Amino acid sequence: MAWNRNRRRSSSGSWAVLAQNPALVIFFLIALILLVIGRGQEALFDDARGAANDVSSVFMEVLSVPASEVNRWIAGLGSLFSTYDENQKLRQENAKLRAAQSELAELQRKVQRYEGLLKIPTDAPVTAVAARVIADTKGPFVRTVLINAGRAQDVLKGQAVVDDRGLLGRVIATGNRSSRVLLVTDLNSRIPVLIEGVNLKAILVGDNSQRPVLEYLPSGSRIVAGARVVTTSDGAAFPPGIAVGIVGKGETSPRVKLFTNEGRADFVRILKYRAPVDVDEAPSGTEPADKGDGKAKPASSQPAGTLPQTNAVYAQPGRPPAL
Amino acid sequence: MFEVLQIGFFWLLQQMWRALPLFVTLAMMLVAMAPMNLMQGVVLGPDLALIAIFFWAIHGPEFLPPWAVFVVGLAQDFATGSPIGFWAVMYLFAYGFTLSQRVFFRGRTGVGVWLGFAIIAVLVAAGSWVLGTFVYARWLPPGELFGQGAVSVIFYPLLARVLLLLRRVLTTAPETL
Repeated sequence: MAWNRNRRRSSSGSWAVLAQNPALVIFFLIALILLVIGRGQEALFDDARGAANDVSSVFMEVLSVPASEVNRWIAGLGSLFSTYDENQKLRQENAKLRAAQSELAELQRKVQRYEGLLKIPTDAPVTAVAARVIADTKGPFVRTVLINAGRAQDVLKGQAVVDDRGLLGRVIATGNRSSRVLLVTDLNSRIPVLIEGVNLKAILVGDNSQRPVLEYLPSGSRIVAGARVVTTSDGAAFPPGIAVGIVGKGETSPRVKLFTNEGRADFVRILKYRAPVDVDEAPSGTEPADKGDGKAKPASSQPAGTLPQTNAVYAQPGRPPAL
Repeated sequence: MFEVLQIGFFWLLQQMWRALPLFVTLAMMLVAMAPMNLMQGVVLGPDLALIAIFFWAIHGPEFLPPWAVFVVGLAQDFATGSPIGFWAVMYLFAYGFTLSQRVFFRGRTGVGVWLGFAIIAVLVAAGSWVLGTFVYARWLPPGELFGQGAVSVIFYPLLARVLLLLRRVLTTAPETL
């Protein structure tokens, strides 16, 4: 009996499987090598990712149509039981908003007049491209979505993506017709923000939870739960003032309750923002050639190996970027 | 010349037919990526690729050979934006481990195989967490991984039924080992 058991183990045990399947070992090693190379040289796979996104976007555009219908049905079913309460709430909110509307118009006129008097430079104009979320590619470690706008629509890496409620994330990879958006909640997301009311600046750090953390707050700073959190133009990455969320209550560390609901994002806008930064003209002949591929070239005055200013906020020393 | 082309065409058709499990697995992955939000953000959806890999490793590894598992893993890496090679490593590990334990599923009923999948799902979740911690060089919350594993276990019997239909189309070989 013991002899039989040994024989069985040797013919079908773990090591026997490897011996019988050299292809399994070879592909496992190839995958490991890719993982190691990819960790050090992530940019190697950028074009491949863009191309893969473009290919999958063809199928995902088709699949997203019935998916949005299913979402609509689910949302409709949910609201069926709360229609009366919701209606009452909306009526109250409408009354409040009507009162606030005239006040807002008056304030806007005042601000414009003061800006004119003080000759304050106006904010850089922000144009936008509309797109649709065609794939929800969230995984255990990565929070991203795929949208159906890419380089053909002048979408570039680093641009902010918003929906009707607020900031959703930023573009991290672009294909020709599609782009991947890193959501605010992702582990690798770092967004410069401002806490309104107390005027404190911080970095909103994603940790894969629904509520990202506020880090790098000045020591001893006091923030109030419920304070609005908006983007700042620090790092010249995002337009200032995009709504992000409110400071959450009852947390041990300051966290932000986001305005957006990642799962419900459907139509989004990609903001084309160019921060008004004065840059000294480079000497003739040394101007970097911009091929329009979204890859910023370092200016001649910039030390070799440093990141361009637009990416400075996201740089994590000693750690490769997420993608 | 015509005969050579004819043979080539039928060979290609045969290969495509044999690669049907791979195409179905890739199609399942695409469907899972549709922005439906059925889980309402509470937990991640099931890992359909892992379910398919386990099923074929048990019920017919010749229909999903190692190269196909590698392709599925790479597709998952590209689809989810994970580091390239990450899911290829994990799926090949799951495939190899399932193959090595295939003998234990000899004559088992559906529940026995289901329990086997539960063990594989836990191992893959634990392995992914360890590998992820090394790759990202930081502490990662393991809850979501194990949550996804649990959802995959719940969905396994349903999807195994669908895959079993496909297997019956592909071969008349007995379903039990």
